Amino acid sequence: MSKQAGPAPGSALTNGSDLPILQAGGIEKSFKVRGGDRLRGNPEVKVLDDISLSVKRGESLGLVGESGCGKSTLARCLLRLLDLSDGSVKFDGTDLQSLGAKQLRALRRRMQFVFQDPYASLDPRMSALQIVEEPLQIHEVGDAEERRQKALEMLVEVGLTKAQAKRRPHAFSGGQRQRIGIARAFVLHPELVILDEPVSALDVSVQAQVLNLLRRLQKELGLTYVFITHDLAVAEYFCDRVAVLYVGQVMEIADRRALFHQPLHPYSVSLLSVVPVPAAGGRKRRASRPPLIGEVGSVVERPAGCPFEPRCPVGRGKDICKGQRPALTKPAEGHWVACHFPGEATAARGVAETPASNPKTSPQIDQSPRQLHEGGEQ
Amino acid sequence: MDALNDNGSVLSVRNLSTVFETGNAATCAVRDVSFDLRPDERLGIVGESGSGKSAMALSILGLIEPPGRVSGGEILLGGRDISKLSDRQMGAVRGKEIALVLQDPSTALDPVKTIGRQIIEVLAAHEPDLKRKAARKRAVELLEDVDISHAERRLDDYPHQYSGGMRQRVAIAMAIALNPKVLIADEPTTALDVTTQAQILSLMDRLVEDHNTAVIFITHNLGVVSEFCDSVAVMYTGRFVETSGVEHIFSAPTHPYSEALLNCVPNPEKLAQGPLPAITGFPPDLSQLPSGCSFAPRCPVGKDLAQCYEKAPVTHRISCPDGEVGVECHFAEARARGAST
Amino acid sequence: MARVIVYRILGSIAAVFGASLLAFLIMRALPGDPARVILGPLASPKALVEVRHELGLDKSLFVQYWDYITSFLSGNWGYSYTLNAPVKSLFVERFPATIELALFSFIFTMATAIALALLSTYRRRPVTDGVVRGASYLGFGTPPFFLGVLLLIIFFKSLHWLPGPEGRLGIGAEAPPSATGLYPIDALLAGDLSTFWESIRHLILPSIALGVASFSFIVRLLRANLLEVSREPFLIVARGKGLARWTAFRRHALPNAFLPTLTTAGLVLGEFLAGSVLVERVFDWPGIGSLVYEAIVKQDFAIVQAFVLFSALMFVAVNLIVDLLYAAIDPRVRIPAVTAT
Repeated sequence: MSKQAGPAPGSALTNGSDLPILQAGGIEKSFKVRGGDRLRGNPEVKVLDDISLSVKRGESLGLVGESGCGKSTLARCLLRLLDLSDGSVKFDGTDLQSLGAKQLRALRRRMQFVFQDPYASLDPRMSALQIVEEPLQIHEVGDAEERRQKALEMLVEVGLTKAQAKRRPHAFSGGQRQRIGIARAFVLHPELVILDEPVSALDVSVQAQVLNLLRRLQKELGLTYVFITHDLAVAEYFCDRVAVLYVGQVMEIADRRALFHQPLHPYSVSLLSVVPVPAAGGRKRRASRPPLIGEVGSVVERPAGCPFEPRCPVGRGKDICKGQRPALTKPAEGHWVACHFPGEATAARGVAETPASNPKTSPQIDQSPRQLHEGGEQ
Repeated sequence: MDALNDNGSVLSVRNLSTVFETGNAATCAVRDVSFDLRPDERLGIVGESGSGKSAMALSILGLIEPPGRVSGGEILLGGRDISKLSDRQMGAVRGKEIALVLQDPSTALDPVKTIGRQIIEVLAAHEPDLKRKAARKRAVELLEDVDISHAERRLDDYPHQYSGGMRQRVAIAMAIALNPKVLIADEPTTALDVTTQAQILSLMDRLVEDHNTAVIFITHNLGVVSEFCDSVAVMYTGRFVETSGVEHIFSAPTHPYSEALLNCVPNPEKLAQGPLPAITGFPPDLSQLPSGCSFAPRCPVGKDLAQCYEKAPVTHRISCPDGEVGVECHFAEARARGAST
Repeated sequence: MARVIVYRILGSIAAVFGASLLAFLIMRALPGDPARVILGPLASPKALVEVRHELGLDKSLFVQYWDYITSFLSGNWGYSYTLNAPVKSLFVERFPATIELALFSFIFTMATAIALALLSTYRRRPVTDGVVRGASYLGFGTPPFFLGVLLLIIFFKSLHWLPGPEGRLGIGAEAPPSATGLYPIDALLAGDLSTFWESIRHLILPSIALGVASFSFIVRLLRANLLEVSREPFLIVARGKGLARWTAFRRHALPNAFLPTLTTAGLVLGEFLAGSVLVERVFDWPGIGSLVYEAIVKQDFAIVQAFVLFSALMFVAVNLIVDLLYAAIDPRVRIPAVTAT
């Protein structure tokens, strides 16, 4: 039941010249869970279920979703840090599953990973300089002096001083550690970087610094990002396109503007509506929201139909939603959604609010944030 | 103990200071903080990590452990200064008058005791005559109160059998069990998903209204403050640099730090204007605070002004259309005027 | 739960099997001819061949192992030619003395270790903590038999406070009527207080000598666990409920700190029960250890081989109990987390 990595949903352009840098088709990933019966073997849990998406060269694709939605697992599968259970991932046209360890290692130079926890991912016994030098050593770039020079330049590039290069991770703050993590990933000048919650552990002021840094580096180096976050405000600010995941399935993929202003999937609508907005009038805003019932679905007991059905304001109790898993369809150019009733949640609820609107931009403070965005669409 | 303080507040903190002394260094986690909490108020305390938010919460409850200690100030509850009480006397206040909810629901419950035992524990601590059966019945009611289904059966479950959101519900059930006058919630939704966070906030909404509980809501999430709180205190290096009604802080933040903090929240509307206006530098070391304003080196207003480095600003009380605002900045009045015009 | 028990027991059987194989091979690999030991240096070659045949030493290794394991299981542990008695009856005779010392030393070690770990962590006083940590270091480097001799020199030779190396009771003293085989308990059962006191006095020094190394280890382990647990949010929550400091500590910190210590405690008890060759030798304690010491000196093959398997059995039995205790105490082991809600 191997799936073809055909034209993946989300690949906006079909003319061959602009081949996506990363193309995932029908990815499935199962894990064995502990605590099972040793004689009968451990039960398998499908964490990713038939995920297809593609990443265009030079863009930032956001992967958003709540805990347990599989976004971090997906990120690892995309770089083949984890092996797939089914499906395929093509990097620049090369099927990663078909590569041997050596070829894969050569390719890894072009795709890098930045982890969430900057402390856990840095070896405490190495200096910042050694940490950034290491990938250069692994890929045998230049001689020792060149590598040192390159690593130093990269550290300066991410905003650390040459004097700090000798220090070990514990001597740095959280934001500085994340800068080291970024320097390590970027020193090889990769084409694709997967950023797994790169700013989630940081304070908001430091978060802004790191986001600015990532943006500047993307421009300077012409990078492609896959940006994983649970923070929708960050995703809206940072990403060009966003994929919304729910218990290991893609619910919706769209351009930033479409997703945050005209979400079609009821889950996207719900998710966006509950993001607290740091703007005046918050108490009123929250009171006007319909409550979202239930808890995040479980990958252990995957339903036959839509995983969001038990909580869905539109499809709850409907036979088709319970019995049949909706396929990803394309109601508008570049906008994919897996729902039997796309767009109805938005219509039913009037408007979907968008997160992260700053009061300073608004002439009147008690407007709903929806109005803050210069109307027009819809 | 039912009485309020003389000024009508349920909790009144006066010049509270807390230090942590290790070796030769003294870290001032809370520096001379004062505020009043009205009986139905929801005060949000925002600040970045290390700003002293949690230390202040624990100081109010008398739970600062050595090498830390409350080094000065008064905490008035029902007209008496609870900061001078012995640990045993404070035991009667904690859980009954002032309750606590913590950030991480996965570590806030004892993993080897049943949910029921942990709920009953708070009841039994303040009502020694409580019979087992009655205690159990009340624990079931409390679980039902926080919307946990099959409460009777789930009372005998252990924390690891609950989801994160449910654990936080239990933590809240324990906190409101005895109708406390003040609930201190230290980042109660930070570890939760946004949908769960929304559910917990509406639960807290309902409960603090039902129980007439004032809330001190500590968080770094400005959005949550705007949607849950009545008033806000912005904390920086152990001080309240700005206190105001919740609408004011989001419409006309007066302290440069408050403004900077709001500005660095990612805002897609400002994409065209270039990089996010991040706050430069880092908060100062709390054991070596500068003599002037502690925000001066990072402050867009005062970083080049000698005055800000030489003199620590005092709190200016300014009348604004939406209530009084307290701002600890040399330029508070000018900035407030500028914003209102 | 039942499945957990079955798996643990199957695992234990496998462990004993492995140990028996090891014991068998080691004994075969050691130099020295058992037949020669039995018959002495002047025996004729013919007699040697006969004895070897009698002992089964001329069969293949597989057959020898099979004979060894089946006879061990059927209660035939071999015959000691140096002591002219079946090995099993020697073990049965000596085991109560070892149990007595092991249990007493274990209780003594654990009790003092717990007390000291509590002392160093509960109040968080740096000075007490330093003293406890220093003391635990001392125990680390001291070999038990050396400490035994040292203790004898101080408390017996110089101070005359405690009895010397004369076994379980004074020389010529009569053992209490045997009910459990453990003198202090038997004496108590018989109402003989002076014998009880005598046996306790005889136990003190060997218990210290036997326990000191494990004591150091357990103190350090417990101290680290307690420090870690006392920083857990659930302890702050417990205090926030209004529990007194000690109540919160006892109910929530201690159980969670002890759990990870259980395995180590089991290993220690297993080690003690297997008999300490050198400590028993120093105090002339008539237990398994002394028996084995004599057997080694006299190259009494059968006893040493039985001892290796016997000590493996002790370890495995204690570990099995520890594993089952874990499942009984820790709900996270007993109950799977995945539950439908």
